Amino acid sequence: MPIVEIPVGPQHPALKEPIRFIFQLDGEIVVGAEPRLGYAHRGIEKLAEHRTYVQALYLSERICGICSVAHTTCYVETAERVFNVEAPPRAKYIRVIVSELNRIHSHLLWLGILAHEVGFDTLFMYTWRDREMVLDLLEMITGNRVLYAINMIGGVRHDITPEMADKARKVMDYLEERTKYYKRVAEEDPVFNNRLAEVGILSPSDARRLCAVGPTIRGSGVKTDIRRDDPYSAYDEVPFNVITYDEGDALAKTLVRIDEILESINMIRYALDHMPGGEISVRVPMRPPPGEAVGRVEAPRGELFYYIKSDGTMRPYRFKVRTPTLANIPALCRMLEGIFVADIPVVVASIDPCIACMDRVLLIDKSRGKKWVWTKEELRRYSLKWYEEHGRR
Amino acid sequence: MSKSETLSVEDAIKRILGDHVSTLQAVPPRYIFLELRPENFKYDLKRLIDELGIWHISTISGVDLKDSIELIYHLWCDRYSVGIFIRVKLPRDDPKIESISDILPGAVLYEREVYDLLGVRFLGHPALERLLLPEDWPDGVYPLRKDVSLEEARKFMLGKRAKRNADS
Amino acid sequence: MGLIAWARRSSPWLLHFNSGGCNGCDIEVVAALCPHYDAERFGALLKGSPRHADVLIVTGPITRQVARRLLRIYEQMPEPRFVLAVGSCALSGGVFQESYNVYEGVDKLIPVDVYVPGCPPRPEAILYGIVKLLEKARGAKNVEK
Ligand code: SF4
Repeated sequence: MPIVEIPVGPQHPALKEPIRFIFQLDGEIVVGAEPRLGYAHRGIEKLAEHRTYVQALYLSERICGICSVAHTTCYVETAERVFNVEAPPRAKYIRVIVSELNRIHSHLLWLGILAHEVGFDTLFMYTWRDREMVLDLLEMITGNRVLYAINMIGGVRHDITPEMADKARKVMDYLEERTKYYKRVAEEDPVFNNRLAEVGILSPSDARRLCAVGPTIRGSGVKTDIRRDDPYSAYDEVPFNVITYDEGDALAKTLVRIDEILESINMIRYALDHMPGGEISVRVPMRPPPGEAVGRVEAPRGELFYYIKSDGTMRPYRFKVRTPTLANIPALCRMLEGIFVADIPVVVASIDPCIACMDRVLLIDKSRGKKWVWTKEELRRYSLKWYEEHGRR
Repeated sequence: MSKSETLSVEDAIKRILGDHVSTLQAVPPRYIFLELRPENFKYDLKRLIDELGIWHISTISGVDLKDSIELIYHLWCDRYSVGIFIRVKLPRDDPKIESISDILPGAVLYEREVYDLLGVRFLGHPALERLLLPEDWPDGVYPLRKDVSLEEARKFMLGKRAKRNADS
Repeated sequence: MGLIAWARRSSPWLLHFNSGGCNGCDIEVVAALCPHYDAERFGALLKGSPRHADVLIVTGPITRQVARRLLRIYEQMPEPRFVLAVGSCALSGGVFQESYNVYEGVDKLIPVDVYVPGCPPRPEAILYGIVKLLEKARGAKNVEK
């Protein structure tokens, strides 16, 4: 059987998401995909058993640098359940604001990567420029650009002052305008449409069967969102819409994310206006009582899952993390079946595997006895050229 | 979620599983832990899934309890908006259980992960292979077991490095 | 100074390799190369292949699985080659120290020329690292062989 091996490089971050695929090809068409994971396996779960609860917080933040707030929020929400404490209301609102800012930054980053994959580098530069505005805001609030260290067990570390809120509102106005522009680009630009529409379709039944999460499943028209179904922090008080699109292709997933940016902007505005006053943190004992807790958080990429078991000591007995990209891998394999080789970069990017870092692609076509190695860059160029020659399928 | 609805899902579970469920503990507001016996685990799980219309599994966590290995299947039930977390305890010397990847295909990778890091064998799994650990990791050493200390696990790696340095 | 050495120090080509880090450093490296910070004004250009690269930017704590790959990439690079270690992970393992699956630092495997500390370092710091590296390359008289 002709076999193509595509190692999706070890250039990929979160806990265990760097993956590599063995592709089976029939000419230009992918007939099967099988994942190999583990390049960034850093043994975090074992390591956390040897850290105190406070130290493990910093470890959890460093599982993924892009959705870092989602990880710490999930960690502190879960740990607070173990410790039997509750964060003050103002802290919960600050968590929502920072989480949503993080979502905007992550979606913009992803939009840039996708634009790069389809050969639309201008958009890549645009989105990364706008992303800097969000990072500046985050830096103003938390003091950091990437790993914010804002959450702590029992509250948050920094307050949002009225001046910061004013600045944030201005940036939100600017971003809203830009995002509407991006939406117009995604809907009308022929390059985008040509490369994204009807590519990598995931049917709703497959999406449910394979337990996809986040924008991947919402792009297939399944209405699920942890923020609505299992609200944490202050999400039960902040109104928002769960965005779904029915087509299930890469374009639908793009539009879901763009619309989610708009929702996040409105949520931030609402949260800034309705933030209750008061303390931002409560004191927490060193040791929790024995017990266990589960936490689920809607990270930018989907459901993030934590499980913490305590035996009454200062260190967690068991610390379990399931990152959203891992949950989306079976669905990704399904989406990759039946597509053209030239569409692989876009389809892989469409689930937003943090950064679609395919650093090097090894292709072996056994039927012709040929073997060639591609870097990710070459695969991208190949697909751009292929589309130049073939035009619209 | 009001209290009465949580109660009703507990009743629904009891009705479906009868005395097969040994402990059932609700954690307000939306979570339920329950324990099943390994013997008819899959049969019970399938009935639960069919009757409650569950389609989402978040993950499977494995915990080494020192005298046994505990698996927790984290399911989410849309109909009642509750998380149903099913415990099952396996003997530590030869942990094995039937795979559920045919009734919940989303569990394929999670079962492989537990196999890789804790050494639980899932009978009937389509491809029970390593998921995360390197290919040259020694067989029979499972990093998340409590008897493997961090230093010990580290030694496997350092040993390797010392050897390579000697070779070159 | 020969033509090649002159070209090399005026326009170093970079190769970016994530050895299992958290991505925080990686997005900052990319941000440093984007117009807002603009590393290209020093002539630095991101390249996809080790055979074309002069400078290897390594982020992350080096997991066991990628160690061999890192060595291979390093060996494929033409001499003289420079290594820029970015982030606490790449310097010492950072928060992942003591884990069973990481090597705790790039310099355990390959020689490093410039270390950029921080978790993650700011893009300005990465730029400073690149500039330092260029100074070092300029000083290296024996670059031509
Ligand atoms: S140094 Fe910090 S930001 Fe950089 S990869 Fe390591 S943990 Fe992530």
